[in-house]
Amino acid sequence: MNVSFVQEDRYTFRIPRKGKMRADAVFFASKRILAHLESENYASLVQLMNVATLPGIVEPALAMPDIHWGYGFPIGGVAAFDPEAGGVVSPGGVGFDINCGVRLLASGLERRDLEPRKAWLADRLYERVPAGVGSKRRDVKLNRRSLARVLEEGAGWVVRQGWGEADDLAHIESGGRLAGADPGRVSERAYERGLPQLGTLGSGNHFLEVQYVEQVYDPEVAAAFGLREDQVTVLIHTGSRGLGHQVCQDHVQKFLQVAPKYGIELVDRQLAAAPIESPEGRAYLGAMAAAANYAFANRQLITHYVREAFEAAGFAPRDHALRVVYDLAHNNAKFETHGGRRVLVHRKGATRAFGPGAPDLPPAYAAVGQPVLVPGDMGRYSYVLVGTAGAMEKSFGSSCHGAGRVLSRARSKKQVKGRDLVRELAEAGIELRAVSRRTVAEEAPEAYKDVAEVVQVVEGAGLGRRVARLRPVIVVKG
Amino acid sequence: MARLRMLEHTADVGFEVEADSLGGVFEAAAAALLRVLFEGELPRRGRRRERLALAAPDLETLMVRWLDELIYRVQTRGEVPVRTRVRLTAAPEGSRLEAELELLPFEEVRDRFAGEVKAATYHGLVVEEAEGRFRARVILDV
Repeated sequence: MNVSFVQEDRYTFRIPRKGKMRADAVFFASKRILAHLESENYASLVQLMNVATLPGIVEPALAMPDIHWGYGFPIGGVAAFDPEAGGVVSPGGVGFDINCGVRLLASGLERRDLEPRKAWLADRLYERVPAGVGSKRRDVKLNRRSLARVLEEGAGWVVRQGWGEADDLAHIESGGRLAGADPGRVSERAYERGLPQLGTLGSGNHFLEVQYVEQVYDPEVAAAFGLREDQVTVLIHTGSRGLGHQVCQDHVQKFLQVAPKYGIELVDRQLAAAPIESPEGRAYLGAMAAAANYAFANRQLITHYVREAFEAAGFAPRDHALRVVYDLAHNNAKFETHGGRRVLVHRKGATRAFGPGAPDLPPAYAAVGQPVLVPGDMGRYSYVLVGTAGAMEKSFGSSCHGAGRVLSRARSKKQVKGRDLVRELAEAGIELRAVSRRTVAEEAPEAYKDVAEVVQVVEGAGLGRRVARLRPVIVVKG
Repeated sequence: MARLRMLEHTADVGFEVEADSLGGVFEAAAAALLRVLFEGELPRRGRRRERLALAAPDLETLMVRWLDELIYRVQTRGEVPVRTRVRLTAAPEGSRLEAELELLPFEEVRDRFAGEVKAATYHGLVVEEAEGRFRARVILDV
């Protein structure tokens, strides 16, 4: 497919509707990001145009500045569908890792408190937060019945077991429980995959980082978020693990079978879709919400392990005082109201970025907007942004979710061959603990765009505003 | 003789396999999956054998189901299919796959584990015959 676009302002580009597209597509980029898209032969923009062919799409199909080539939807894709206009739900628009997301914790510690015990804390985190296959904690055991409760109640179930505080729940998107969860729509195999994995990090780009606030850009909003310079923070990036992957697999296959019945023509089978208001659409949404709740519970249980690890490293609870700043999804589909219409917003590698006064914000953030957590690569920095009115107008209240890869995993490995990344990071003051050397090579800092570039476009396009920059000091990877 | 080539994909991992028979393509795809999941060579003999039968309306869906079954065996059951023998037949529902898996406990190769694979995707998926050879292209979500 030929890709042609027009530049609307410094950072906004529009792909006018053509061929089977039912809506225009809009993406946000700088010159450098544009050059990267070209180097991929615009594969991710073709994916964005494919999204615009789906029935009931509300104009425009969108991509955030961390857009890159995915499967089905591009990563960084945002698309809203109107249930009253035959709008569809697509599991490929949510991704296999349903409610993959990030959670930021802020501590009562300063950078200098951490320094003498940094390596010790890194070891405690690595020991206590299981990565994945074959590594499980023996003290947390689920059975099928309790897992069904997790799927219905999300992070709240974990807190009720004593693994967290009520205040944690107040600082999670949707209160850590997505409405409409239907554990009965989750297959037995998904249950089987989910049972041993609650409280595990996973591998690939998932991580746990201890950081400090290196710079505050907006003191007023930072104060509302409880962030200050030199403060120690923790960022957790993981999702719904094998349970979510299985829910996606099960429903993509069902949707492929029923798409012809609903007259849905698919230009990419990974975009398999069904009408929101169909039995299949409702079944997926019930299962998807259940998997999203598993992911909220997963990040809650990991938070409990992180608190334990800080205590094992000699920081008493009143000193580390770890509290949840925010927890958000960057792979999901949610009913929201935009432009007076109730629509189903798919975000695939994109973050909700609601501005001041928007619904579903913790009271402390209602006046400033929600925190938007944007992880960078493990060698540089991550950002905390705040949602804006501009995001509500331009992007269905959405913003970017990270840096976005520039190198394939194979290229990244080739580029770092012969280098000792663990030592390089240690020399830069970062303690790295990882299960797999290959993951480390694939996740090397240069495999990613500089997240500062992405954030600059977000800010320039009015989709978010910088609040603080976080510098990693400990990185744990699966 | 099967051939395997890893593909460039920015976010995920892809591979292309070629073989003399359709069954050979599915066996080669299983071997490619193991190359993504593990570093270095794995033992060629398993500790136990298991039969597996799958059916699907088309070969692409059968390939996705096959790879997803293997991912589940490694990541949930902790058993690594180090060797597979696959036979494909036509079935009323489309295509049918019968396989014999040689499985090794994950613990025996844990030190070579390179990271999880979430699933096989339909994006750019091809299973086809061309000039007497059989070929498949798959992108995995990692």
